[in-house]
Parts: sequence; C-alpha cells; structure tokens
Amino acid sequence: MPISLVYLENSLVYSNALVLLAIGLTMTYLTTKIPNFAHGSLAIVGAYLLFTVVAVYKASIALGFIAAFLAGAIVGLLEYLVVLRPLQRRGTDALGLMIATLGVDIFLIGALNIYADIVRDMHPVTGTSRDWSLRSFVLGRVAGLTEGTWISIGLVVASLVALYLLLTRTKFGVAMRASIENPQLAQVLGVNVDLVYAISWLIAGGLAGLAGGLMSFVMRINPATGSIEVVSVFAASIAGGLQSLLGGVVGGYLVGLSETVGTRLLGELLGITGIAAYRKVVSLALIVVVLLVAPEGIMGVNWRSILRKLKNRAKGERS
Amino acid sequence: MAVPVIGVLFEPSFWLWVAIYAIVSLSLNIEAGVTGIPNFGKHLAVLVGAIVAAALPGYLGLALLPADVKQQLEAMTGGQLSYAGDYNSLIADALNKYFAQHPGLSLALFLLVLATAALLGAAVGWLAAYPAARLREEYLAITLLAAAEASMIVAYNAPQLGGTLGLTVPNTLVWLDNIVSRFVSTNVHIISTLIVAIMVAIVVFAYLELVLRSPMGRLLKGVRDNEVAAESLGKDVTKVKLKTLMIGSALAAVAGALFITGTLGWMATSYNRVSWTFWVWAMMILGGMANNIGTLVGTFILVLVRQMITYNKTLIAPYLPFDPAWLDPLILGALLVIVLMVRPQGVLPEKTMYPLPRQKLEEKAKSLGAPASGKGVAR
Repeated sequence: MPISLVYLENSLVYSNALVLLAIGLTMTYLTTKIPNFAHGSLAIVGAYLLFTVVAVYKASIALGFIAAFLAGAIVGLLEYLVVLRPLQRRGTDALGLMIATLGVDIFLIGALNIYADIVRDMHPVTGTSRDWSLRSFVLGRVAGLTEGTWISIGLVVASLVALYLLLTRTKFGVAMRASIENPQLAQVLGVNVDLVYAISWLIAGGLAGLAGGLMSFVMRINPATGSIEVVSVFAASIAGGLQSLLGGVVGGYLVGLSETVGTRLLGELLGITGIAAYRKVVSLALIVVVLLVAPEGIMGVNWRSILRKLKNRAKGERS
Repeated sequence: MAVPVIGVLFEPSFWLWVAIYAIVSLSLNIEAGVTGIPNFGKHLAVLVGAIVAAALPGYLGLALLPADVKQQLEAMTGGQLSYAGDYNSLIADALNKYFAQHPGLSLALFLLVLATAALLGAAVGWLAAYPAARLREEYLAITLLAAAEASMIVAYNAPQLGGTLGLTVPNTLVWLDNIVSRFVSTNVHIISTLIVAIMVAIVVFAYLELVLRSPMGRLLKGVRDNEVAAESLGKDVTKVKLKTLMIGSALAAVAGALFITGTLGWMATSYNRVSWTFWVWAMMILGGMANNIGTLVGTFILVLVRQMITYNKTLIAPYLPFDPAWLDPLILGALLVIVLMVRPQGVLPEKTMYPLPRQKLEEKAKSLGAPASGKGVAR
C-alpha cells in the first residue's frame, strides 16, 4: 500500500513542529547551557491557547497562533527568570538545573490539567478539553495541500527567515552570537548578556508555542502530551548536534520524517501492522546512535573528509 | 475528616508507599547522590521489576496448573487459555484459588519473581552503564530518560502484557496472607506486602549504609567529586559506575516487583516519569543527597504530602472549579524548586565519613604528635 498524500502531509506538519521545537531547545542550551526538560510542555501551553481562541471563542486561526506564541514566550521567559536564573546565581550545578526544569515540567502539567478542567466547565458545548485535535478546522484544500500544511510551512519559513535576519542583520543578533561564543568576552565588550539570555528563552518559548499549535493539527493533545513529545525534541536537537540552530532544523526533519514515514516504511518492509505505536523508539535509537557514534551530531560530522576518504578507497580498489 | 493528618499514619497502605519508595530513593541515592550518575531513567528499572511481577506468576502459574483445573478453565473460557487475553481476570481468579491451596508453590513463585526482577534490573543497569561511561552529564540524563520513556511506550503496547487494558495479577503472597489473617481482619494483603517491603527496605538501608561507610563509599564519592583524580589514583571509574548502576537498578526493580505484588494490578502508564523518577529525585533532594537517613526522611515527608492531598481531596473539591488531584503535580513541582533555592543541601546534609571512628583517629593523631583537634585530623 503506497503512502497516501494525507499521511505525508501529516508527517510534514509534525516535522515542522519538531523543527520549531528543536531550534528553541538548541537556542536555550547554547546560551544558558540548560537542557530544558519542560520544552515539550511549553508547546502544549501554546496548543491550549490555540484551542481556547479557535475552538472555544471561535476566533481566527491567525489570532490563535499569536496567542499561542505569546503564551509560550511568557511561560518560557518566566521559567528562566523565576526559576533558572536565581538557581544559576546561587551556583546550582547542571544536575540541579536539569531537575529544576523537570520540576517546572511537572508544574506545567498540573497547571494545564487545571486549565483543561476550567475550559471544559466554561464551555460545555465543546465537549472535551482532553484528547482534542484541531484537525477538522484546517482540512480545506488550497492548491492541493490542506490549510494545516500551508500554515505549518508558512510558520516555519517565517520563523527561520526572521531568526536568520535577527541573528545576522541586527546588533542584537551579533550580541547573541557573541555571548554564545564567549560570554565573558562579550560582557567585557559591553554586551548585556543577561538580556540576551532572557530573550533567547522568550524566543524559544514562543516558537514552542507555535509548534504546539501545529501539533494539534495532526495529533490528539492532552496536558501530558508534551512530556512524551520532549523525547523527540531532544532527539532532534541531539541529532543536529546541539551546536547550531541549523542543526535543529536538519534534526527536526530527520526525526519527524523517520518517526512517521520511516516507521511506516519499516512496518511495510517487515510486514508488521501497528508498528506506529512504537515510533518513540526510533527517537531513542537516534539519540543513542548519534551520541555514541557522532556526539557532535550531523552538523558536526566532517562529511567532506568522509566523502573524500570513500572516494579514495573506491579509487584504490579500482586501480 | 477531622484528623486527616494523623489518620493517614494509621493506614497500612501509607506505610507500604513509604517502604517501597524508600527502596527506590535509597537506590537512586547510591547512584546519583553518592556516585554522581544523573539517572533520569529511574522508572525504567522499576518498570522492568513490575513487568516481571506482572507476567511471571501468571504465565508460569498457568503452565504449572494440573490438567484437570486447566480443562475446567478452558470450559469456562471457550477453549481460550492465554493469561493476557480476554479472560485475564478469570484466569487470575483461578490461579489465586490454586495458589491458596498450594502455599508452597506461591512462595516459590514469589521468591522467583524477586530474584528474576533483581537479575533483570541488574541487566538494565549494565546496559545503562555503557552510555554512562562515555557521555557527559546532560547527555547521559537525556539518554536514560529517553530510554525509560520508550520502554514504557513499548510495554504499554505489548499484547503480552494486556496492552492498554493492563492485567490483573494473581496473588503470590497467599502464604503470608494466611498467616497475617490470623492476627488482623482488614487490609490483610496490604499488611503482608508491607511486612515483606519493610524487611527488604531495612536490608537495603543497612547494606547501603555499610557501603557508604566503607572504603568503597569513599571511592564512590571520589568518583563523583573528581573523576580524573580517582582515575589517576588507579581506580577504574568505568567499573565503579557499572557496579553502582547494576546494584541501584536491581534494587529499584525489586521495589517495582513488590509494588505489583501489593497492588495486584498491572498498568504500564503507572510507571511514568513523574511517579518513579521525578518523585524519587524530589525525595532524595529534599532529604539530603548522599545521606541515607536524609533520603528516608525525604521519602516520608513527600509520601505524607501526597497522601494528605489525596485524603483531603473531597474536602476542598466543592470550592474548586477543577479536580483537586491536579494540585498534586502543581505543589510537588513548586516544592522541588523551592527546596533547590532555599535549602539545596536538603533537610539532613551530607556528612563527612571518616575512615575510622573519630576517637581512634584522634588517638592516632596524638601518637603522631599532631594537635588532637578535628581539623588537624581531617587533613
């Protein structure tokens, strides 16, 4: 059975969401050196805002995504300013910071559950606030693809262009790159490193909020979805090497497509049905393989030298 | 409802939670607190132990049933005799009856479950040691967390474990239930599980306390504080981590097996990150890392907090527009962050372990001519 267009569209939307998440995770890790285990739940905060605006208040999807971005950005910023920065100032080690982000994750899951209960009681017409999906809202086809697909492509392209311009064309972008390269030197040269860190958390949270909205187009969302999806987000960032934002983009598509299209093809190859339930195992395998074989990630591997070696070997065999 | 705080202390189920969580948090303490391995995949070892306790008594018990009992069962289920199938609870009932008549068999099965859980748990630790010896702290934490999450999803979808419906597990503690029922009339099964769990917890505590006080304990702390220094003194850091992870995971797996034996029900989603990794970390941090007694104190406090929320749920429910169960993660997450900020060393901070009792050290120092103050000795 060939893979249908709808399936490909869904996996593209999912991959786009992962790209946005992996960029944010990589950005906060590069700047503040904290692996944020609450990143998945930030996405679900955005998803619930989109749900509230679009499904409960029947407003436009564009407004919903603005709300999702803002909610994610505010929660991400608060996570850094209220929890992580004070801990860093107190000299908490990497382990303590990681546990703190896990604590934030648990807190967010509790808060999202409470919010889900309240939304359900405010608007009983919508039926459920757990295990919902906005799939039916974006099924109209424009130029062959669903609206949801176009929205996801548009958001990813817009985010990438905006980030590129921000990082290369503005003074702030230069400051941010400088504080990633060498925070002490940047500080000496008058860069406000604290502001750069705070804004990177703000951007990361906002992108996560957008990604959560996209996820609700292709999968069922409940308050705990983020804590499962965070495995894939880490897989994407690690596959990209956690060294550059471009790595996040490559890793996002790699993990997203191999989790969806990859498992499907594998299932058909081996003749197993229902293999899709195990797609998170693909992410785990990717994490383990990348970390043990090429810990610098795909972007860190010197592909040119490997290609040259392969060519030389082929030549040597021929002669 | 008037005395919910005190009431909870008389519930055997409360103490069962304390005992089982004590085993897991002590095992995490030796890994993370003492040796410094950031095991964010603690629920994997617990999950493995739980799977053993959920599957082994059912499958093996069914295979050991005599032919006539099997025929009776087949007549009831229409020829279908698979433990994890549609007639799971029926089969578990039949097994319970059979075990009750043959307490020796149930005892043997119970011991087999514990031994297998410990073995498989050690195997999990052995696997985890491979990345643990090669990866940096953050990457290791992510890898172990991802491994545990992926395993949970696999277990959740496995038809051999009842899939998304879970399993009813036959009771392998019937032999102890029979004895306990002579003394008490209610909560018989919980109390008999509690007796076993407390005994295991005491043994685990004594063992880990001995390890901590022995030269081995100082080696573990040395690996945590400075790996390079330990290596330069000829210590095999990789091997130390391997041993620690194997022991820690084996203990956690035994706790998982005891938990299933107590609740007699299997559901993969119960072995999630919140319940068996985050909670356990919070207990250890609250009580004091690298301090076994502190870890026990932290375990007691957090189980008490959670039970109190559970008990007072119905009391506050009418005043809230949401299910008060969600206050549990909310309070817990906030509590952990507050502890990290206000008292990162925990209720009972780590103690310096001297290689000899303090008095002997001072005598030795005296005979060497050094001043007999504590400071001079520590150096």
